[in-house]
Amino acid sequence: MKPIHIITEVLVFSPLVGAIISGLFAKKIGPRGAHYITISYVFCAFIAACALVNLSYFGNVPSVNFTLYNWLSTGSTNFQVGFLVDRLSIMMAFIVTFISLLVHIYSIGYMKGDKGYQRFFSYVSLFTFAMLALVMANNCMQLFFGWEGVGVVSYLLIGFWFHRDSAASGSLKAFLVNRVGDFGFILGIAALLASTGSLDYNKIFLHTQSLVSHSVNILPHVSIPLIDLVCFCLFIGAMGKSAQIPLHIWLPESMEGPTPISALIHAATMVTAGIYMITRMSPLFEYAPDVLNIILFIGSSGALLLGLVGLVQNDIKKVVAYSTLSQLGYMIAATGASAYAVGMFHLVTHAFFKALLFLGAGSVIVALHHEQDMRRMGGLRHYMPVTFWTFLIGTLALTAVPPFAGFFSKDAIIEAVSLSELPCATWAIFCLNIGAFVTSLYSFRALFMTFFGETRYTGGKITESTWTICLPLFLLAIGSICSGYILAPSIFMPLDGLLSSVIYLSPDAANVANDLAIPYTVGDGVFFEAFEHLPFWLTLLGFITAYYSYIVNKDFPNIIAAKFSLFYRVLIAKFGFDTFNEWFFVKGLKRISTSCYKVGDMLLIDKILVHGSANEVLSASGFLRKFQTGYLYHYTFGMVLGLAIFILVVLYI
Amino acid sequence: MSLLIEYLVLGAVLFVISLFGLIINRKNVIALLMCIELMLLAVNTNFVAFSNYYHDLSGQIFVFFVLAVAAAESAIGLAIFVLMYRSRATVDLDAMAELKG
Amino acid sequence: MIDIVTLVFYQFAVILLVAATLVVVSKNPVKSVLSLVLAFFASSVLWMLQQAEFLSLALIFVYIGAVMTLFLFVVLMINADKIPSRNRVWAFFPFLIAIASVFVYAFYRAFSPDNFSSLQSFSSYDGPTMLGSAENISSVLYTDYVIAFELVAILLLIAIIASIALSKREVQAGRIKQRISNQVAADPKSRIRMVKMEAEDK
Repeated sequence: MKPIHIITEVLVFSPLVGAIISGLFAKKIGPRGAHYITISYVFCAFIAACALVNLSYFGNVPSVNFTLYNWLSTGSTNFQVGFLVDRLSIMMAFIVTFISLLVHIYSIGYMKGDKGYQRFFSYVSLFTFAMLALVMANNCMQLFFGWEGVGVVSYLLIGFWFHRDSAASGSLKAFLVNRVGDFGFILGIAALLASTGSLDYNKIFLHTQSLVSHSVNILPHVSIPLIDLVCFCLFIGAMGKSAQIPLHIWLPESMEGPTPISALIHAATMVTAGIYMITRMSPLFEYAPDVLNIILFIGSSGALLLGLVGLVQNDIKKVVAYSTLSQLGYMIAATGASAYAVGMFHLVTHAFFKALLFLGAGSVIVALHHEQDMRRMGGLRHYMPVTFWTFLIGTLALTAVPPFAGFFSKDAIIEAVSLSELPCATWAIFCLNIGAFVTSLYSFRALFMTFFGETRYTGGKITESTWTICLPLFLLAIGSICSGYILAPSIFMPLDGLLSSVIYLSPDAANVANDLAIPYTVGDGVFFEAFEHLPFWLTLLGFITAYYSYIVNKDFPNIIAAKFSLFYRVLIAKFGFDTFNEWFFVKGLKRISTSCYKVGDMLLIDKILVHGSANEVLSASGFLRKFQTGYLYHYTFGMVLGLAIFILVVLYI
Repeated sequence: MSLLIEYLVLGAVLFVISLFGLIINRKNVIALLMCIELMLLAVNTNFVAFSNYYHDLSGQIFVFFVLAVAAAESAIGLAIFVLMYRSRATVDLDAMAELKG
Repeated sequence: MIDIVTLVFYQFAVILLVAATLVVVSKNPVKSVLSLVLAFFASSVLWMLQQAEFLSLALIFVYIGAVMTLFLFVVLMINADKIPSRNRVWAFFPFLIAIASVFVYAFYRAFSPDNFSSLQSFSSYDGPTMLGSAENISSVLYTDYVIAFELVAILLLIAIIASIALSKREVQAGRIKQRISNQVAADPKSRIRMVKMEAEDK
């Protein structure tokens, strides 16, 4: 066994060990033991991830694909536990372990005194394990295992405070909506297994040409290429996990969970699994331009529309949640435009600054004794300087102000989409540009409402959070500042890019990638080029609007809301997705199942089949027993009658 | 002169008469037993006539067996009748409807 | 010119039918049994005409001598007023007519001379003895039909056992035993009590 195998196993399984110990021996180890143990195991995983990064990015060790364990064999199909260690999975593993480690540390302060302290740490470690199993998988089965594993832990953590009704129903909603996506995902995996006979990524990619040449009938006389079907099914999975329209509705509800969880699961890692999966499957998606078109459309629409909803939210976590939805839309749009590397790049930078924003929001929430409404905050920058400055950095990164991380990735996404030749690209570029304005507007709105203006909080003294909360904020702030600048040149390197060995690009897409790379190959010119780009000016416009509305003239938002009341109500209603689901799925299902119950169960089965057959037997036997009178002469009578009939039959036949 | 047809008609008439008896005496067990004896007699008469007609003894042998079985039947039938009379003090068949479903 | 056999046949056929009708319609069971005796007697004559010598004698000995006596015993044992009266006889009349007409029609179809003329027929039997003599019967019965014969013997044995088991009043300890000492010691005076009584009007 090579060292890299051992490192990979340590990486994946050490969080599981931590989760098992703190979950099963919670009473014995106590709260302090729980966080020490889980943090040390996650730290092991982080070290392992760093080692892999060193080997792969600096040591140029080629990608490793090995099978650890043959789980089961049916016929010619093997379901295996195996790992694919390449630059893509290592990048994800690094992000996951890094954010997870910081969230573990942050949670010491955030979860202090909670009754489910050990349970919380066990869940977070379990999540880390499942996410690592997902990203390190070398086959679809294990990918699906991790996919479901993170779904389960997400469910458990959203409903962590399950005694609250909203948390319980939020976790249920997340779980159910994810089921819809997972259904599509497993259909896609099944279609892959059926058409290629294998679940291994490498073997599947060998069969890409046969997937392209085959077509399937989805309706009579309507046939589409098999690859379109497979990719669309896989994208439905990504839609569920990465919260794309129309399956995005669970993510705002997931804010019922503890804030560290929102940062780790619902911003930085789990929700990006869809982008990771699409990137991983790029050899398939590249051959399904129609599906890419759909992806581009859905992603860019989400980026704009869900950002707009973020404008009218007053809960600080909800604002960040809608911001996450919007940014996920950007990433998905990037993959739709075949700029997988750019999508992954934004994933990484977003992981830093969105985790930072969430943890910053969490810090505010802790300081204000679990007050989440921004209308009751304000002026906090005097009380919580660390949180303020880190939050500001996160906001600048999010709004893509150069030289912060978001600028590189988001600008590249807009660039890549504008270079795309897909039919939806025009709409997408419109959405993403306006989205930049909207992003800036809601981000600075949140910043101004929380940290500027007069102090509206009256619930007691406000103090800065402890060092366990501030340390992760610091580290993430550093990541938010530098990660874009550090990663950008290597990501966009046209021939020897960071991910170019992993991602397959069709010739057209490769040309786009080369175009994207031009500014980065000439050094720091990219900063000055920013001023030539529309998004930068839109971001600035957003900042000015926010400053005017929330600092200078505070009545302005109300005037706008009154003037465009229809639009405002649509935003408050979140475009009516929830209402539609409530009306169509919940009420419709209830009506259908009620009628099924009344007609199918009560009438058909109970009344006709069960009681009906019993009654039929009863009445038939009631009729037949009349022949059984017990009187001898009746039997004689029957005998004679039979004899007469017999004679007649003999005579005439 | 075998008189076969006449014997057959005689047997048929005898059978129908006993069938009538079976129906009009339907309450009286002993009358029923007697009517059954008469029916068997009608059948036996047919056997005997055919036996003579074909000069074949099989018919008469059959009659012999029928007589033996009929004797056994009436012996047991009468025993049941006596038992019934003893236990219920009646021979009314209407009182015997234990097999009613 | 009617020959003597035909004459005898018609005579006893009429007697048989009348006796059978009396069996059926008589309300007094004693009369019924006696009419049945008469019917058996008439049919034994008819059987004799058909050369069934052994059977007609057996009918008289076994049936009239044993079975009918048994019937008579049983009938006499029962009070006459316990014999149920017939009711609703005429309710069955349409049914009887229908059944009877079916049978008559069937017989009419079956007895047409066409059915028999083609068959081989022997006008007379000219063996050394009658066809159904005891010798002829036994020579067949003890050879070709010996198994059936033995089975009938077993059947009769079963009937005897069954009727004893049915009519025995007390079964002591599950078995029926003959007590010879009691039988020898039996005294007529202890069994029969003579009662003097006035004549009754029926």
